[in-house]
Amino acid sequence: MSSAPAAEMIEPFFMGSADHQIFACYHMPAEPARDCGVVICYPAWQEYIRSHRACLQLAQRLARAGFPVLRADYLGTGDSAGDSAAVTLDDWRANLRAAISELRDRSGVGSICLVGLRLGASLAAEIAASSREITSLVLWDPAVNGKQYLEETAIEHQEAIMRFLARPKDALKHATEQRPSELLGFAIGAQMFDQIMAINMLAARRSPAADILVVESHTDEPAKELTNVLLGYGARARHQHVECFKLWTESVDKGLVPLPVLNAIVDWLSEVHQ
Amino acid sequence: MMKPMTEPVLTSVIEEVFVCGDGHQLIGILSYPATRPDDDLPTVIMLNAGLLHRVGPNRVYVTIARALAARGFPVLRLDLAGIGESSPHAETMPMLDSVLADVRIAMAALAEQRGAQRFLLLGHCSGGIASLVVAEREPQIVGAVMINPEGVNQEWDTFDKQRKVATYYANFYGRNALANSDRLRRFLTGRADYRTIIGNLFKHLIWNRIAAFLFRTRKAIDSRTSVGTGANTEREQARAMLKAVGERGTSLLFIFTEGSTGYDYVRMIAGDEIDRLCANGVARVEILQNADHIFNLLSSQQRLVEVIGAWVTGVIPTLSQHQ
Repeated sequence: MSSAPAAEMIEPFFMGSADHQIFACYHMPAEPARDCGVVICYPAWQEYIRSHRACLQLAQRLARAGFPVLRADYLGTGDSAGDSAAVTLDDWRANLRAAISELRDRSGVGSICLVGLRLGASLAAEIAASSREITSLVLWDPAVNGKQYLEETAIEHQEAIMRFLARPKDALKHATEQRPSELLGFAIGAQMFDQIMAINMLAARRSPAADILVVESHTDEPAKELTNVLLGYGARARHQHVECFKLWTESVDKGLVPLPVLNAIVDWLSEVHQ
Repeated sequence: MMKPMTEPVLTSVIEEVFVCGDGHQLIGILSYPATRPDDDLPTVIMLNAGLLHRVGPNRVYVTIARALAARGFPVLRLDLAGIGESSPHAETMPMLDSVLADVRIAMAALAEQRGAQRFLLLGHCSGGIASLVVAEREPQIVGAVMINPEGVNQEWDTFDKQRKVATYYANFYGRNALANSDRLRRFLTGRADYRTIIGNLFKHLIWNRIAAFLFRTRKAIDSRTSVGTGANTEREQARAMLKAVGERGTSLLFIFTEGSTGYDYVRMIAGDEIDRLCANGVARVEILQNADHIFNLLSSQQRLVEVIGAWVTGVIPTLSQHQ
C-alpha cells in the first residue's frame, strides 16, 4: 500500500489543561504557503457530527491552496473534554481564541481568517469583531438569529422522536417544553440556551472584518439582510448563493459533501489572500 | 451471572491521540485510567458506525470510552481507513476486508506501544457487524459488543426506511395531530386538507406497513426453506461465524433498541444460534426500551452506557481467563 500525499497528512493533537483539553487538527499548507491561516469554526452538537466530513474536506482543500488550517472541537463536543450539559458559549469563545493562538504559533502567519458554519459562523463573527488580527471572515449558512436557530433545532428534534420511537409520548412532552434540556441527542444547559437565544447577528455595531463572504446553500433572507448590514458598515462583503442540500440536516451515512460550497469558499479566500 | 452496578468508578481518565498505520495513517483517541491499568483487562477497540467519525452517533462513543476507561479498560476509538481523520487505503477493497486489515494494524500498534495482548471490539450498526466478523478471524479478540448490528444489507436498509416513515406518519396522525385540539377541530369541522391526509396515510403509512410486512414474511419463508441447502449464504455464513466464535468462548453482547431492524435481521439469519450461545452463557442479548437506532434521547444513551458497563464488569473473569 502506498502512502497518501504528504500535503494531505493531518496532525491531530490535544491542547490545554488535562481536564479542559481541546482536540484539534492542524493541516499543513502546500507550498507556496500563504500568509493567512484559517480556523474552521464548527457548528454545534448534531450539526457538528453531520458536517465533520465536509469541514475536514474544506480544511484539506484550503491546505492544498496554501492556507495553514486548524480545526478544533469545542469543549463538550467531539473528542474534547467535558460534557455537553456543562459548557457555555463563553467556553467555546475561549476555545476559538486558543485555536487562533495555536495556529499563529504553528504557522507564523500574519493574518487569520475564520470560516464558521451555522452557530460557528455566529461565534466567528463575534470573535472577529473583538479582534484586529481577523482580517477576513466566511459566514457559511450563519445562524443569524439564535431564537430561530433553537426553534428549528427543536422542531427537528421532535420530528426525530416521531420518526424513530414507537411510543413517543413522554419524549415529545419534554421536547416541546419552552426550554428543552436536550436537542437531537445532546444536552443543552440553561446558560447555553440563554446565550444562544440572545444571538442576533443583525444587531452588529460594526463590521467584524474587512473582507467577508456570506455563503448560503439555500434561500435565506436573514443571510442576505446580514450582508446588507455588513456592507453598511463599510465591509467588502459578498453574498453568494450556492444552491446545495442542507448539510447540517443530512444523515452522515449518505456521505454527502457540498463540493460547490467548498469550492466557493476556497476560491473566494484564494482571491482575497493572493 | 451479571454483577450489580456497584463497582466503584476507578479514577479520572487520560486521553491522547493514537496514530498507527501501514502506509496509510489511522487515527484514534486512546482513553485509559489515570491509575495504572489492570494488565488482565483487554483493550477495547471501537469501530466506526457507518461513516460517522470516531465520536459515534450523538457522541455516545466518547461517553462509552470514558466510562469504560474509568473502570480500568484502555479504550481506543478508532477511525477506520477513509473515515474521520484516517486516510484511505491506497487500493479499493471490500468493506469488511478493509476493517479487518485496519483492526490488525491497530492491535499490532497497541501491542507494541502498550503491551496489549487481548482485545474487545465494540461497534454500532455496521460497526457491530464488523466487530463480529473480525472477532471470528482474530483469536486475540476475547469479546465483542454489537449495538444494533445492521446496515450491510441493502434489502434490510430499504425495509428499515419503510418502517421509519410508517412510524413517523403513525405518530404524526395518530398521536400528534389527534392530541392537538386545533387540528382535531379542523378535521372534524371540514376544514382539513383531506386529500393530503388520505394521500399521506395511504402512501406513507399503509403502503409502507404492507411492504414491510411482505418483506418480513418473504424473509421468514426464505429462512425456513433454505436451511442446510446452501442457498442462503448470508444465513449460513452468519451461523458458522457465531458457532466458531462461540466455540472459542468469545463473549458476545448484542444490544438492540426497541423495534430495531437489526434485531429482526439478526433473529432472521441466526436467531437459533444466538439462543444456543445465550443458553451456554457465551452471549447475552439486551433490548433497550424507548430508545432509537442512534440513541437520540439522553436517557437512552445513559442506559446504553450502563448496560455495557454492567456486562463488561460481569464478564471480566471470563475475559481474564480467555486464552
